Amino acid sequence: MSLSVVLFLVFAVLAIGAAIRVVFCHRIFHGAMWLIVSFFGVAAIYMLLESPFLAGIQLFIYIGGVAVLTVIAIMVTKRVMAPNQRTLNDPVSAGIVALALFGVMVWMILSLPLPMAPTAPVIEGGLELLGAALVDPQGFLLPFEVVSVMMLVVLVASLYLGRER
Amino acid sequence: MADVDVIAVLQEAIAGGGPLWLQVLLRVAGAFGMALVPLVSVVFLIWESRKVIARMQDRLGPTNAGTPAGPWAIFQTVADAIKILTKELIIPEGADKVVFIIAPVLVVAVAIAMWAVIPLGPPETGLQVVDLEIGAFYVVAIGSLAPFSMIMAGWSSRNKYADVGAFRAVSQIIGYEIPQIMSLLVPVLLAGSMSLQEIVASQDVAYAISVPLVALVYFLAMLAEVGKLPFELAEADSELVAGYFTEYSGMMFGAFYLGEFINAFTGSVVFSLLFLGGWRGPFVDVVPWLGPVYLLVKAFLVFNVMNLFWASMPRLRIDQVLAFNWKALVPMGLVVFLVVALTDKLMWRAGVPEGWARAAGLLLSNVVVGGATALLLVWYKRRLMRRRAARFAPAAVPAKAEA
Amino acid sequence: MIHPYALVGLFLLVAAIFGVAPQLIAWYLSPKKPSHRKLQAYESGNPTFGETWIEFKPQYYLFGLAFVAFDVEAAFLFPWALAYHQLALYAVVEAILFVGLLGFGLIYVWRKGWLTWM
Repeated sequence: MSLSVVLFLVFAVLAIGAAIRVVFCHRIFHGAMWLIVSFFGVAAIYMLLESPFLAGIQLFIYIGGVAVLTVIAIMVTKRVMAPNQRTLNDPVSAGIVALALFGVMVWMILSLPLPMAPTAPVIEGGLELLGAALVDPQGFLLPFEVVSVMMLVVLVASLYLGRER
Repeated sequence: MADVDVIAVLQEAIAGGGPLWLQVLLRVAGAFGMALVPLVSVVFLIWESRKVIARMQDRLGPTNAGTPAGPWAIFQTVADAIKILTKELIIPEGADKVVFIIAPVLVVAVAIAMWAVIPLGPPETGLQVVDLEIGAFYVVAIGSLAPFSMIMAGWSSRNKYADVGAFRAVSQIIGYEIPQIMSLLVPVLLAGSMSLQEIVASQDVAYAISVPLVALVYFLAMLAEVGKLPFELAEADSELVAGYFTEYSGMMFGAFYLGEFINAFTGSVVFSLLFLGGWRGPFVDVVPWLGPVYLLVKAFLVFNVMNLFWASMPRLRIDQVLAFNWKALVPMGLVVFLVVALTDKLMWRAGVPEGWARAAGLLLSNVVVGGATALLLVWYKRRLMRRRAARFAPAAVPAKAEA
Repeated sequence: MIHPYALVGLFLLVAAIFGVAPQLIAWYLSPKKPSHRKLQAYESGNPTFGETWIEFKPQYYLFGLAFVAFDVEAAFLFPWALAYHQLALYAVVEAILFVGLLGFGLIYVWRKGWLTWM
């Protein structure tokens, strides 16, 4: 058991444990806080995978963006709901759907040929290569530009939906 | 017991050899040392700010009239710190205890965490905890954790004013992160690296000279991020009581205040690293330890420019703050980033040599963009004036339409 | 040699300690005399009335969403900026297209007046 395996287990338990807490939390705001802890766990795992840039992205987009947005949504809509109102009308159907989804995901993951050890060596200067690949027509140029279109849609559509009437 | 040459063992440990526990110990000591830099600096800077701003506003600021605060009250901050540490910590009834307490801890922890990558001097002096190859990005990533302490403080206080204050502060902070990142990307672009040491090393011509518009955008965005006037609505001293930290007392309040000053200082240091050449200066290659001196002097100057703003500007409202960000700073940040990237690449194609020639070219591009923006604003203002005149003089309009 | 990422982790720990320490010191040094008045929410000296409640403003959320859109944009520009010196001119043009698309979106919502804060 090398140090990196131990650390990985620690952070994995943290990430999953926090995620479970998110679901079972009584107060929804605490749930959001646990979600952030879970994101931190994932960021730590990225660091273990020798990818500090991805860890930073996790911090900066997931925590700094998505989590903040989620919390704003919670804070703003919580006013509309009474504190302990049950929002789930039909727990049985919800449970069936959730289990089915879980089953599909497990089946997909198990059907992938997973390598048991890392096969790709860590490349020095990997980020520059990524940058070059992003604009390479034989590389990821199309997805790169499509991301921009997607963000355009997000921006315009959401502001349209929320416009003052 | 055998004679151990302590100095030799220490030197070996610093160089990277020696027993592991000694290396770890040294690193821990170094980390503590680096973490103390912002704290100690802030003690001085809080006093200095109060004095300087007071003088700018034609008053005296803290003096030692009758109190044991030292000549010119230099121990004022220490006295304030002692006072605040002994105040009762009141947690309001309905407050969410755990979150309420974590918020001030987070504020200070995040503020200090940024110092992991700050190089105080050239690599020979080893005055940096880690030179991460993603240094600049690390600063951005840690900075993006800032809104959380505000949300946590505002929400857990269960107080309307704190809530509103938190929302507004968060909107401001996340908004201004965009121009901050776009302008930070320019030194990264020009240096070809995110490592702060390499960005400093690549500044044969300081970026504030070759791309002043970018430096301006970064400075303004940074002002908003740390919450200094005119972007001070998070505190809003005379409006929402104290904004999102209304319900905090004692050191918990002190933590927010401390965090703000540390962030302001960190922002000045990062600005100096990115745009003012950091620890570079005359004779640094001969005497590397001059490096931190230069850096601190530059950061001090930037910090005092912020004080100048603080002393003289009124506070902007939330709608003005957001309008300025999304309608002025973000477009400017995007445009100037693209223009700089394009200009540098064109110069590279044309074979312009590195150094002063390239810097001049970039400066020219900045001036062009700045000039175009100025013209655009003037034209827009004229149009606005004309429209207003037309509204108040309707008789004139049909005459013009006929002619 | 100690791994640089371990050093980062170490420093984060140190930073956390520096965050907790002042609170611990203050908790030790400060008096603890809670009273009903002190524990109430602050409303300029008047007792609070009604549940603490603020208006529902979608603007907060929308500006956050706009932020996320540009955030993702910026994240993609970091690797591009690193590779900049090895890239040809057309790569810059592509980046202009990338940023320009979203910039166009910004101008569009601006002109439509959806960027105003109430």
